[in-house]
Amino acid sequence: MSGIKTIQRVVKGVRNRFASRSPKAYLLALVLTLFYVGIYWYGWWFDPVLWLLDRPSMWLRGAPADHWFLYGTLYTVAVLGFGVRTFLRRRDDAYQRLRTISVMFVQLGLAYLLPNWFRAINQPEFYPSYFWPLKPEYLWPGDQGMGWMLSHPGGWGLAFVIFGLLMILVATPVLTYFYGKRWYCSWVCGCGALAETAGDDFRTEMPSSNRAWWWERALLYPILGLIVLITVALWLVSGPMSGSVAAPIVQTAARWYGFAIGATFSGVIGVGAYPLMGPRVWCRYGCPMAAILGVQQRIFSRFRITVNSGQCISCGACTRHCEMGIDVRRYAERGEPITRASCVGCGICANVCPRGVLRLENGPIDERRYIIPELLILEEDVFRDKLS
Amino acid sequence: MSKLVIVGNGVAGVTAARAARRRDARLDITLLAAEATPYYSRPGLHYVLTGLTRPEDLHPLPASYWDTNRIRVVHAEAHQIEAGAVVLTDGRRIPFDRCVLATGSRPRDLAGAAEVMAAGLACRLHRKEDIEAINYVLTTQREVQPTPEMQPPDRATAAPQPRAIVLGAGLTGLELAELCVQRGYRTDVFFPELDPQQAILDDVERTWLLARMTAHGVSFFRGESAQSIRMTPGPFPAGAEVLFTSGRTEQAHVVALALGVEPCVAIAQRSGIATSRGITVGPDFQTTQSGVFAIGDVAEMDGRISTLWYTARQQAMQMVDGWYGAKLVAGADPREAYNSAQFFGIDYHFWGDTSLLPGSAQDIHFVSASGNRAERRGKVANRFWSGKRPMVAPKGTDAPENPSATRMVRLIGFDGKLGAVSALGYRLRGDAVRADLGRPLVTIDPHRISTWGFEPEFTQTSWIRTEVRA
Repeated sequence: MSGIKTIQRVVKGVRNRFASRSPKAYLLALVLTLFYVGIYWYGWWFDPVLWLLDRPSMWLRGAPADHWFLYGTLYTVAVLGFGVRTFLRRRDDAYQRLRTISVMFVQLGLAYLLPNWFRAINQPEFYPSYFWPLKPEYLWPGDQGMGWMLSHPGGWGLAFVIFGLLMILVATPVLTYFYGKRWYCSWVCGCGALAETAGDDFRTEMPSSNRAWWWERALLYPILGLIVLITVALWLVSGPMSGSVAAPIVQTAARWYGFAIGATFSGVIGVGAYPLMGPRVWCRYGCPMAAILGVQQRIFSRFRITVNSGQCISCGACTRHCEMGIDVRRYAERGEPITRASCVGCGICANVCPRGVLRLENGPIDERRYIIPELLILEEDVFRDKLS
Repeated sequence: MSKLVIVGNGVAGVTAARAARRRDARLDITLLAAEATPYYSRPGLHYVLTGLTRPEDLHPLPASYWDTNRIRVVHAEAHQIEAGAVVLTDGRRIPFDRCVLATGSRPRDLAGAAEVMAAGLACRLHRKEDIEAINYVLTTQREVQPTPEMQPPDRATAAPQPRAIVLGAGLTGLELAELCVQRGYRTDVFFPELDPQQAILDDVERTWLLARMTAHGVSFFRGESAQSIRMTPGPFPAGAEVLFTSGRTEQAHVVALALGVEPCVAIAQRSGIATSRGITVGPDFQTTQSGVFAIGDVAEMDGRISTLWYTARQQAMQMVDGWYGAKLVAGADPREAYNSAQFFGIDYHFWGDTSLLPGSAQDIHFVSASGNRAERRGKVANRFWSGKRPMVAPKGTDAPENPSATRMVRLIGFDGKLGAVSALGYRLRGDAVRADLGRPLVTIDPHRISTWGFEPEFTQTSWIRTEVRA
């Protein structure tokens, strides 16, 4: 009996302990932010505890522990531990069970064990679950990226480069066509893995206002434009335009991107904001991979969240639980399928809906915008909603 | 028509305003709201109490919505309807070309309830304001020392738990029972019918559902009508005492009232508009006063009133469609009605012809312009069920027909053709079921049942059929 009580307590989780915008929530946000600041720029903060991980580090990657290994280990332990909790919490839903196992497996296998093993055998520390532009260096020339990988002995570097190219140029468009961007954001990506497991309690913090949606588009697509520009420019200055005056500018831009977007936005803000704005701040406002996948999901994908016509009671559970800040209720009330670019397909809206109104599914692409016209459409607002 | 006045900002009134605005961008629309609380989802109240949503999430429309769509919202109470104008209690007159009465209903009262509720020993769930009261009552009463009468001898429970009594086994009663169980109360539901939910579920479904609810710690006491309620005797009342018409008395820490609702017909009666139980309306929702309409659970058509959220919404859209000569809203066909609910986390879905359900169900489900009082004979119920883990049948209850079922689908037929589908623990895809209505029953096999499913991807179900001839 006490075992069941413990499970119930674990499953209930920290949800009730970090009230929205409470002092505790701000404190946790501060702790997480400081942790990331330390990991990126003040690694020596963690020196006193590294010895604890020396044995596993030697065993896994043939080198003593450093603060990056500490980070990777903590990250993976968090995904696995909170993954068990998420699995129990959502155990009645087959989609959630499989999805949670998937992210746990990918994080442990592809984003922890494999890269460390590559390092142990003196090959590049390659993360097969991350591609350009999320890890932009995988398509960058020279010492910053592909050149460095190719410089390793044996064919491993070449295999990694080809794998990376295939994943972003072939696998990504194909999988996104069939399944929407959820195949990556909710089943593979490590950022998503932490978000769905450790971040599950905070998903209700993401604002769903029109204003937040405006900021999403104002930040996300320019960042994508930036990384595309930088990547193209890097290739230009390493090839046709090498030696030009642009070269140092581009190099600086690439380094700045790595600092501002790759580290500060993605890491420090991305995780630091968990208790205040939910676990998908990076995904919604910054991730260029999400931007690419989202555009394709919107215009060329079989994925949609189907709405079961008239059953919606407007309770608001779906909108509240959407970690991407989509006003799911608005679509559900009208019988309009959701094909939003930002939808990562976590499936929690469908999971919490008390009337079974929503279902994530893939279907004929020409039917995905079909709104059951008679049943529920009340209006496209006759006069456009103000920014609210 | 250039001026529309709607009395009531519940789902019926608000939907009528929105539908009318969609049809006519220049129409002058006024919405009279007697309550200060903006439009909210009443079915969602239960989910605020269980923690799924918060009170602020219940409002589907932003505050700016009314300005944006040029719908005037007046927070005032209507007193009566004269020819061409609504008279407010403060004396103001609001002229109209068309008026819609969407005044809804209020909870049925019980003698003594007001006093007991004021003392924090009883509660009911009807309005958003009740949320705070229910939370208060359930939290404070949990720690109270029980009287001997609150521990009835027929309950062999070792661990003392506070006791909750729920009066009524409709959806609201069952929701309150689920809430009391969640908050740690031993819960007893008393209801006047022989079987709860008898209007929408058949014997097998009901037995199965009751067994699952009983396993959660709820007991059901049938055939008991509450007569009055008072605080438990003594200087420091520990709880409330209910007197039933059978002479039985029961005491509990908390009593939750779910006795149903009565239409708010006062305004209509004052205005000389014909009322029976509710405001009498014709097939186009017009009352006996020209230009005045009524929708929602205040409206009575063919002697029937529907208390469903879905029906109120559809009636509003249907009424407005009728004004503009548009074809009736699909799903307004009573042969394609739908309903859904959730009992202790078990989804209930229904699609199809409500006339195939027991007579009283037609009241609950649907009231439409075409009406459907026809006597239908020769009902056939084919049942499919699907199960994984064996379900433990609690002591003292009859084992349900399909003890290991976790899902149950009932096909309701007429003349050998599919007329309606009822499902417990299994979500139905409305389009798919509607497309198969009218199909011969013998052609419906487990594969077809699976095509109706709206469960999450990767859900495995294998169906077993037991045929029942009713």
